[in-house]
Amino acid sequence: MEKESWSLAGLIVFLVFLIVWQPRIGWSVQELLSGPRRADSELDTLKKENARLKSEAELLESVRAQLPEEKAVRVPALVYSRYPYNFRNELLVNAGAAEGISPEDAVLFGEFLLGAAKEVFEDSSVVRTVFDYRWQSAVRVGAQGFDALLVGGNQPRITLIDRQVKVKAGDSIVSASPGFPVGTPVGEVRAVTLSADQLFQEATITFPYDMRDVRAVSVRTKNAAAPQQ
Amino acid sequence: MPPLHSNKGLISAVLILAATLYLRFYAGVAFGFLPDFVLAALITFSLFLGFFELVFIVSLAAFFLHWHPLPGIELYLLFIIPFTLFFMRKIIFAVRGWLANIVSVMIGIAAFYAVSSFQLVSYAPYALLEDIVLAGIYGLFVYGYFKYFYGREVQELV
Repeated sequence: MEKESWSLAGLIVFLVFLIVWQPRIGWSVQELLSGPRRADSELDTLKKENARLKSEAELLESVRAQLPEEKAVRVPALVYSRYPYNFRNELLVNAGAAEGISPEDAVLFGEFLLGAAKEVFEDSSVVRTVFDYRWQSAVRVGAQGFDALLVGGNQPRITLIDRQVKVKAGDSIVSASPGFPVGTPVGEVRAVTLSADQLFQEATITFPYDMRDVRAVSVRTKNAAAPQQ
Repeated sequence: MPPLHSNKGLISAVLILAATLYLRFYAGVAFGFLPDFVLAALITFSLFLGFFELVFIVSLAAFFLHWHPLPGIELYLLFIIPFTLFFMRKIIFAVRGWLANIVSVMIGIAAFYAVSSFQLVSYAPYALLEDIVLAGIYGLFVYGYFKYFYGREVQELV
């Protein structure tokens, strides 16, 4: 076998070793290639805070007083890597069962619902985000808390809004799904339209963050074994 | 008809792969959707590179695209699709090279998602069509590059 072929064979073996035993090196390179995280401008910070306060105020007006206080801890986690193909939107984070994470635990970016843990390993978890086509969860819209369904995708939208209710751009969207912290902000209504069958209203969503900037998340778990945060 | 074994060809393939990966990770995260240019490039490489060169370049791509703690179906498909086309390139397509290339890329992308995300494709069929068409066009650019710079070293395969 030629010298060049031996060199190539050696490189191939090395790559296979990296793929199987040291995938984190590849994940670090992915992170580098994704570009630098944009620093939050003052405007971005204010927008996020505004969205959060708005949803909190609307929730306080409606239902929070009636709800029992939930005991949960938040486990911080860094994003290792992202699903690199299309049609799914999943992240791999560096917190798993060892940190008390369980499947279906809510994953937050700041105070906003980003997704849920789907596969939990000992030291890592796969998070399915609201930008995944398979995502569906109950939400409430606006100060009156109109029921709707959050449907994931490249451009998530809320659907099944009663045609008779008044929903407008700027109304906050909060989670109302069992298993997720009630009232967790998701985003704001961008534009309202009628569904294709004209029976319901639908709305597109404005998110106060960019997926490019998601490098660290927190996982909300009720597991008592998780370290207190 | 000998495939391309020159170092320059492999280096070119590595550089093209690097640029494509950068495009994938930077623009893909920014826009949430990007046609599968990496797979398109790998399929095009399968029409030009030798066996070991192809193993190396596909392994390199797999190393950067491997995102899950465990090997997933996507990782296996990343190897299976280019190598299937590699072994079948002389017998499947009795047409001109560029047409064989674009058809290979389109079939490869369709097969990838048919196996890995069949149900999800039904949510956004137009997105898949867009992916297939744009990836096919990108594959043509890669094909054109190899044909232009290495056309004397590699005869058309069919």
